Amino acid sequence: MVDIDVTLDCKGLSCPMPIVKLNSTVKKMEIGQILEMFGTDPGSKKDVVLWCKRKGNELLETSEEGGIFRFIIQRKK
Amino acid sequence: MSEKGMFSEVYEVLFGDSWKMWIGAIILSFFSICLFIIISPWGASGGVLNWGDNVIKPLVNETATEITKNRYAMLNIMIVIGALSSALMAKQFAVRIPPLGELVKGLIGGVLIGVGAIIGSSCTLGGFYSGWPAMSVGAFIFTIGLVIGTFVAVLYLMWEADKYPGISAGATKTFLGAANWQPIAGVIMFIVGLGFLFLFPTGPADILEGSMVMMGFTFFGLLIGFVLQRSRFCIVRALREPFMTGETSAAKAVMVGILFGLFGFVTIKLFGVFFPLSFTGTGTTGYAQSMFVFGNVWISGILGGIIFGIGMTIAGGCVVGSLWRAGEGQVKLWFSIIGMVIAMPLTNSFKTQFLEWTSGKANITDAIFLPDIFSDLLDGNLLFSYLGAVLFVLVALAIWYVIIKWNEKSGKLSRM
Repeated sequence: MVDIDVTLDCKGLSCPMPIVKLNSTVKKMEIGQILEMFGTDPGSKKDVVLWCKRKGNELLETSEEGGIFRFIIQRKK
Repeated sequence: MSEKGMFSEVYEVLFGDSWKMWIGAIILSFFSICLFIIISPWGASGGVLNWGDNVIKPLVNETATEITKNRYAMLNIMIVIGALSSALMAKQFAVRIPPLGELVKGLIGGVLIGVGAIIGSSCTLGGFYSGWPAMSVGAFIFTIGLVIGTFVAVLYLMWEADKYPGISAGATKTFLGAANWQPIAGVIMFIVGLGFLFLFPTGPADILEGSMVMMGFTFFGLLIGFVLQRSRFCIVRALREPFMTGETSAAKAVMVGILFGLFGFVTIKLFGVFFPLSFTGTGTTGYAQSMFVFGNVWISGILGGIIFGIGMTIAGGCVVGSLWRAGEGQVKLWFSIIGMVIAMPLTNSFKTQFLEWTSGKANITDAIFLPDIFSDLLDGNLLFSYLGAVLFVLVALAIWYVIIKWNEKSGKLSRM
C-alpha cells in the first residue's frame, strides 16, 4: 500500500477534462509525490497510460471496480 | 474448443478492449462509401439541423420536414442507438453526470458547434472527414478554421484547469454502470434499432419516394454508431492531441480513414454509380460530383471552422462525437446536443437573411470542386483534373503527417 499525497476526483468527467486536470494537478506536485486519480470515462484508461509515458511519470497501479477507474501515479519529472 | 469458449473468445475480441481507432476509421469510411453509393456520403450537422427545425419551427407555426423523411436526421438517431447498444454490450454504459460547470460547458460548446456548422455549412465530416475525399475546396478552408479554433480552446481549457479548477469539480453522480444485465440489454437495443428499418415501406412505388434510401441510412446509422463507440473514433482528439500531449495515433487514424475514403469517393465521382434517380450529370458538373462540395469558400468556411473548433473542444466532441458519447451515457454531451439543436435552426434563419442582404458579393459562400480548378489549368482534361485534385489531397495529408510527427518528437506545438 502506497501513501497517497494528492487525490484527484475525475468521476463523471468526459474527455479531455480528466487529462487536462491530471496535467494541471501533477504540475503543482513535488517530484516523488504520489497522486490517486478516479475516473469513469472509458477513454481515460488509455489516455492516462499515454500521458504518463509522454511526461515521464510512472503509473504505479491501475484498477477498475464497478465502472470506476483508479490510477496511482508518481511524479518523476 | 467448447461452444462457451468460442463465444467468450468472440466477445473478448469485440468488446474486451476498445478497437484501434484506425480500424474504426477504415470501417467508417467503408460505410460512408456505401452511403455515397446509395445517394450521398456520411454527414452529421444537416441531421441535427433537422432535429432543431422540428423543435423550433412548431413554436413559430412553421412546419419542418419530418425526421423520418430526412435521411441524416434518421442516421443520427441510429448512431445514438448503435453507440448505446455497443456500450451496453461492452458493459461500458453508465449515466455519468459531471459537475454543473461541465454541463454548462457542454451546452456552450454545443451552441458554438451549432453556430459554426451553419455559418461554415459543414461539420467535421462535411468540412473534413468526408469533405477532403469529396475534393471540396471549402473543406480545406473549414479544416484550417477547425485547427485554429481547437488550438484556442485547448489554451482555454488548460488555463481554466489551472486558475479555476472548481468549474470542473463538485458533485457528480454515476449510475447504472458496469451491471451484468447490460450485454443482454445491448443485444435487445440493437434488435430494437433494426426494428426501425420497418418504418420505411419498400414496395415498388415507395422506392421512388426515397423510402429505400431512408432504410439504407437507418441501417448504416446503427452500424456506424456501433463502430464509433467500439473504436472511440474522435476527430476532436485527432486535431487536439498535437496541441496537448503531442500524441499522434488519433490523427493517423483519421488520415487512414480519409485516404481510404478518397479511393471510393473519387471512383464514384469520376465514374458514377448506376442509380438513375441520383445521377443526372456528367463530368465535373453532375449530381455526384457536386456532392459534399459545400458553399463555404472562404469567409464562411474559415469563420465557421474557428467557431466550430472552439465549440467541439470545449464540449469534448464534435457533432458525431457528441452523438456517440451521448449514447454511452455521458451527460455533458447530452447538453452539447441540446445546444446544437437550439443554435442550428436559429443561426440558419439569420444566415438566410444575411445572405439575402449580401447577395452578389463574392467569396462568402462559394462552392468550389477541386477538379474544376485543375480542369481550368489543364484545358478540361477530365482524368488529369481528378488526378490533380487527388494529388492535392495526398499532399495535404502528407503535410499534416510531417507536422504532427515533427511535433511528436520536438513538442513545439504541445502545451502540456
